[in-house]
Amino acid sequence: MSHEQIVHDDHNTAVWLAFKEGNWDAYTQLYNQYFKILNNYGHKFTRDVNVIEDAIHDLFIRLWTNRAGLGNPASVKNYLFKSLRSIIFRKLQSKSRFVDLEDEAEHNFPFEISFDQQLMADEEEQELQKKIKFHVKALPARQQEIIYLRFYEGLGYDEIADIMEINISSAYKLIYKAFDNLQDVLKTSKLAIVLALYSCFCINNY
Amino acid sequence: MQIAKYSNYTLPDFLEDDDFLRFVINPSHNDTVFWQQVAAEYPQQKEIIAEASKIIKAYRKQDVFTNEANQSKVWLRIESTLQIDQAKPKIFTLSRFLRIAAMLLLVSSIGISLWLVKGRQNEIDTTFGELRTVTLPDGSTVVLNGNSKLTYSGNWDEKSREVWISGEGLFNVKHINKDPRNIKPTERFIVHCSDMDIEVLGTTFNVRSRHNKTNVGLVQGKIRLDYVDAASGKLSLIMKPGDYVQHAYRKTLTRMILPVPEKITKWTKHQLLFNDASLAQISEIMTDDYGYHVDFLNPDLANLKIEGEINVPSVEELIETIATTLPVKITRTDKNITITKLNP
Repeated sequence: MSHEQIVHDDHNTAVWLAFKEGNWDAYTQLYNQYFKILNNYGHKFTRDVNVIEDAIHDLFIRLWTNRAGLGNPASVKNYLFKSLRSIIFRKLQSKSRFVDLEDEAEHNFPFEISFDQQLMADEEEQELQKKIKFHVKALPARQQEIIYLRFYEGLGYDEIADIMEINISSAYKLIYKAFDNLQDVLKTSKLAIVLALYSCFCINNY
Repeated sequence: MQIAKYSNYTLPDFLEDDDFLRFVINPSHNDTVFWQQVAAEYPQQKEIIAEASKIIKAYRKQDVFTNEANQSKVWLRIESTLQIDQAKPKIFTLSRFLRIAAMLLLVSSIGISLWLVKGRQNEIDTTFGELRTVTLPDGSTVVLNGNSKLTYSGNWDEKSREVWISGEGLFNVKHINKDPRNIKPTERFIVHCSDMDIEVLGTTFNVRSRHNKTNVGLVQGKIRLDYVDAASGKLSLIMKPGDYVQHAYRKTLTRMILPVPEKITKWTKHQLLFNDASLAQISEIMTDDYGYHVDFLNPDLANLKIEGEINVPSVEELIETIATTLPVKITRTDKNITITKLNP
């Protein structure tokens, strides 16, 4: 299977290696480069900014303290996402009063995106987003998360499986389930055909 | 990429296709050319392709939370946890020889302190309500609050300046280090508390360490706290002037900024100073520092708060202030105080 990344954002091998050697500037650079997107990802699990900040703090302390023993991840971003995710889960778990005895307790942690501040260019797009919002929000948290990692972060299934700590076939199964549940959105609307044909040729200017 | 396989793709098929997703999210010139070819070859697929890309784009127009406003604040926290000061890299570059030398020093200092425990160990105790100023062998001073104990060895010529405290003290440490990049063992000053160690270079700060809880307020200079956290293990924190830190053994550490740092030293002038304090906090000081015994007839009374600042020179006036501010009745026999609800 080809592991070509969909969104190439990691030109960081040199920075990562320098950081592992104890280069403080490289470490600072990693922090500044990833702080915002880590916050964005963390914010999907909790709206408690303190929890997110604590998790990012812990993540970077752990990075620096253990730098000598770290490997060379294929994607630094994915590695940081995965680490942040597990730190946040642990924090949310210790915060909740109830001890979950289920095997995969992490399935209970929420995942929520928001569209509240978006202004849509036209009515058709607005309609479509309304529909997406309605159906996506009805999905279980882990299905919402895989949709997010796939279509927002633009990750391949092997990368998603790694971050969510599931195997690749489970990642496929999860996205099929999500697609099943999103059927309404995925049904092409006849009304949109004319516009669709038109925009097909404009898309490339995006 | 093969064009043929897209001839009968459904909408979900496109959403699952990595090449298609990359074209929608982040198209290269090649991608654009390729998908124009697909559309030309299979006109029946144009509609689905357009729909799929519209769905992805509409989904991607979502709110973003960057938390940019706090980016530098969180970084400062990381820095202070890692206590990166300029002196640190030196430690990592110690040669093998120096490392052995450092170990020998450590061993010999343990030897010395073991010998000192038997021999010349100074111990200063204060009784309830008593303030005492102690001058240490290097000229540094400590003002001890009531019911407090300070221990130190008599010989500071060959080893770190180390003291042990339980209770409260205001430290004024003499700065003898000239080069912060090269701190000699004899230039270090360490205060040991029940739940943390405080390392100092030269400074004024206040420590209150009772019941396995320690509060440290820094007035001037720079100090480092070394403590153990239940979750993360050994941690350090560098304090800046005006910082106030509360820590309980292996529990969370809270950090705040004091608006007027000098106020935490008021007790050394026999001033009792409180800010928005609850009766529980006030009675703790009366018990620990002055040896009173405070009873709340109704436990809820301990939560009553006196808003604003109290600044009084004696326990007598403190009791009077409480009685006039809060709806409580205070009965006192010698050092036993009973607080009851005032019947309207």
